[in-house]
Amino acid sequence: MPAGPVFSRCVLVVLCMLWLPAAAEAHALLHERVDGDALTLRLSFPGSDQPLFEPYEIFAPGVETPFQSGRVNALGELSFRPDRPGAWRIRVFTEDGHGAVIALDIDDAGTVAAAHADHHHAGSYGLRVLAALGYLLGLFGLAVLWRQRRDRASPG
Amino acid sequence: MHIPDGLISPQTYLPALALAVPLWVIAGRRLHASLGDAMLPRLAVFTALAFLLSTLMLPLPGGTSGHAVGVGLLALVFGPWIAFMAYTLVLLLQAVVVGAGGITALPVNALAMGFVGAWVTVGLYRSLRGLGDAVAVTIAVWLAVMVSALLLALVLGLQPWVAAAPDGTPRFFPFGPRITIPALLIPHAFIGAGEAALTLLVFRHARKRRWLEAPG
Repeated sequence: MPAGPVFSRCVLVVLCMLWLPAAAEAHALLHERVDGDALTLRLSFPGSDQPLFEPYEIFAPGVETPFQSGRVNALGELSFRPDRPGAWRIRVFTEDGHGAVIALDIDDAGTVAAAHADHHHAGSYGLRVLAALGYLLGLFGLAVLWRQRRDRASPG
Repeated sequence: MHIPDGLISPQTYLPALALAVPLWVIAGRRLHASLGDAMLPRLAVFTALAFLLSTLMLPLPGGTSGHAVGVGLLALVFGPWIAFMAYTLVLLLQAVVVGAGGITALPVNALAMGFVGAWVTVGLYRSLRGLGDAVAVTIAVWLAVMVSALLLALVLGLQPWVAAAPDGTPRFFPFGPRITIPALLIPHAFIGAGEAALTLLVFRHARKRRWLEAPG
């Protein structure tokens, strides 16, 4: 066997061995600790229930694609670090149709200047009011029918 | 003005329930005794009006909202006991169907808005009738709204003292009366004025039509 091809194959093998750590490094997920103030919101329903592990999306000012998405943690909290001032929106919806859109006005210092939440239900507020009005009038209607039936049963 | 569930402690709503139950029994008996075929549809319509008045939310500065009470009109037309009973039904439907107020808070809301609101309206109206109906109705309804708001503000504001953890952390509503009283009274001073005007309008119409069931 001539020495030339053997030598070149050896060189190739050595080069491959040298390249392997770099390839392995390319698949690693590295991290570094970033010092910065994050905002943490604790979510809760009226009462003591909290939307644990429910999905949320955070939208930066004027952007319709989420800046961050995820699930509320086991404490009913979510955290994020806004990178610009403006009107941020956080959308949280539970699977049973409850939820809220929380608007946060972030000032230049990265703190919350104002907050407002619009609650959303599977049925709108107006429909619920109409339904309750229907129940109310229906109850009085039943009372009228009951009185008429009672009066007919005892004509004396 | 409704207090929702979760903001007031059992130390508050259980005594309120114990107080409200006998009053509901008395009011139920009064209603049963005075109910007539002509009165029932009117009571239905006026209760529906009170429901709508207390359901339509008016946005207030600061991101909150307020609403009228509506019990004053019921009290002036049907008397305080029937008004209390009808308004309890309003609060129950709001808690169960609309999601405003709450089940555990129902006795507190019913006592503050339904019972006290109705009796203050009727008591003041009867006392001030010598000044003329317009003045009497306006002052009676406005003050009834303010008294109800004050009561609820005190109930909320006392929660940090009524129910606190051993380290002093409030278990329920965290703000004291120095915050709750102006927070409720200032907006309801304006809401009460609007409600008084609307009540006077409807009350005059009801009296002209001879719909008034309340003696005096």
